[in-house]
Amino acid sequence: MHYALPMSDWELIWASEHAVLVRARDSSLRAVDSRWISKQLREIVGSAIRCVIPSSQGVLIQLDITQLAASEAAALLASALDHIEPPEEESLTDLITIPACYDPALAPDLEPVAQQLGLEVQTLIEMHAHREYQVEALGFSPGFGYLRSLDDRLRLPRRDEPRTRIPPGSIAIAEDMTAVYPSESAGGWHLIARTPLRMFDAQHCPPGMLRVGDRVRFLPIGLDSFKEQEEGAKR
Amino acid sequence: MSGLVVLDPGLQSSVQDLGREAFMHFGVPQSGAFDVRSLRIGNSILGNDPNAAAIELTMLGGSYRVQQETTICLTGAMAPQLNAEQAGVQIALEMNRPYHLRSGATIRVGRLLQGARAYLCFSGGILTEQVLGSRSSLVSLPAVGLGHPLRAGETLPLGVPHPCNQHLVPYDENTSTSPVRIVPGMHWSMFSEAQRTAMTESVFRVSHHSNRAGVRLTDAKICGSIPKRIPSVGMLPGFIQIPANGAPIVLGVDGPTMGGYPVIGSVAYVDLPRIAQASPRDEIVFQWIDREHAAELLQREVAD
Repeated sequence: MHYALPMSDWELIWASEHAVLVRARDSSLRAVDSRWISKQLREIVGSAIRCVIPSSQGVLIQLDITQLAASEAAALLASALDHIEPPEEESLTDLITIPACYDPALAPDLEPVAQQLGLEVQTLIEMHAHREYQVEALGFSPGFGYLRSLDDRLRLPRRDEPRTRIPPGSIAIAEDMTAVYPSESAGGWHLIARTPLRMFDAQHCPPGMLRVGDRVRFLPIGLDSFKEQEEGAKR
Repeated sequence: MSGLVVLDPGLQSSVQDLGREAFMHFGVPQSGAFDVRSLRIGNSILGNDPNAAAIELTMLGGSYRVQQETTICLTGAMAPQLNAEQAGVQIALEMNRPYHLRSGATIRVGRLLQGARAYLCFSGGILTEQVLGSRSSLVSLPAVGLGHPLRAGETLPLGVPHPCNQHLVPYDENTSTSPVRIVPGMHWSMFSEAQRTAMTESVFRVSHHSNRAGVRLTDAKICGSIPKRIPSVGMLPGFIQIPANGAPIVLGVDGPTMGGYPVIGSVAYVDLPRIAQASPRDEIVFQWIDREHAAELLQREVAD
């Protein structure tokens, strides 16, 4: 199953007859590297790549094997991996600031979570907002970014009973991660704030505000400011 | 007035073409016709572009009125009660055959048999707005803004009909009981020999909790130790996840782009339509084949 890359730390693991996972041998990738590799491989291999899904566990690549045989694609990927230059950090990752309104009126779990953790609400807000996160992966629903790492003191398991309807923009925590629900969906994380930003808009290109490897900060805003910005986002 | 009016949308009917692949890294599922082969057959019979959009019907058909001249064709799961009514005359229609309809005609498709999904195709295709490069609907998450299940009363724009190329494809009743072929998946090494064998020696049954995001299997389980969660990694339609309870889930075209359960195998691309056509309570048996064989089957199908 394993295709060893000569003289490198990469391995290709076949995921089906038309998909392969490019992985760093014996380690996980930095999110930013997985995004860089995805971009480079797409450019080098071209249209024989149907899609790429980067994450710290590797880059999943779906191939068009009617265009390029799997063995040839593997050889091409292997040689491309040997020639990838390291990324220029600053050129790749964006620092994205997400306004966040930590108000119980918008975040039903804010007070219960603070109580459960034995923290003042204000302390919880500072622990969540005064920190830089990184987008480790995008999934669950379009534009949903898994942001790491949450302050150790805010770690909680997911809710026992997932909610069936979470309003778009809800900012949530679970385990060692935080995230923004981009559109209305079900979900089991704890809702501690809400952003007026539209995190995913299918009518825009690119449709999502976050990409794997991006750095994210939350900027606390008041309820009035939230309402104002929410109105602005609608227009 | 032109286009197609949805009189009765059936069950989770939706507009689908070949889907969108370019946005999976934003967490956007591919969507598109679950049974791609049947959509391709319909478009080929009508002389359409292979990517022309059609209505994917699930379990139940529904009824639709055309407000312009068009040619239609139904492919996929057998619909024994399939007819069109125009100028007060009702005609029974057959699967995989093109029918020219005049403006005002009503198409009725009853319950689907021998399969779960049928494709109502139109000459020139359905011309709803393309979003992110596709007309396909992400049915499970209508709030995302990538289409929605069809609603009674809505009108879908249709293309201008063109002459058929008379490329007839004989109807193949989806009655195959041969095993669904699968190839080893990316977490193959996490599973024991006994667990791999259990995949092909068990008779699974399709659960009622199956949809375009995933087909869940019951009646048999993969026993023994299974990692509870693995760090999330990319997922594609056809991947077979084994959660800790041992009940396999075959990911569908609307499935999540990331997943945290180990993947034992992947349904061979040419057999994914079999999964799309599996109805609740249907039996499913798998057979391991190697990647090279699966690739050969795919190349052969494309060449045909």
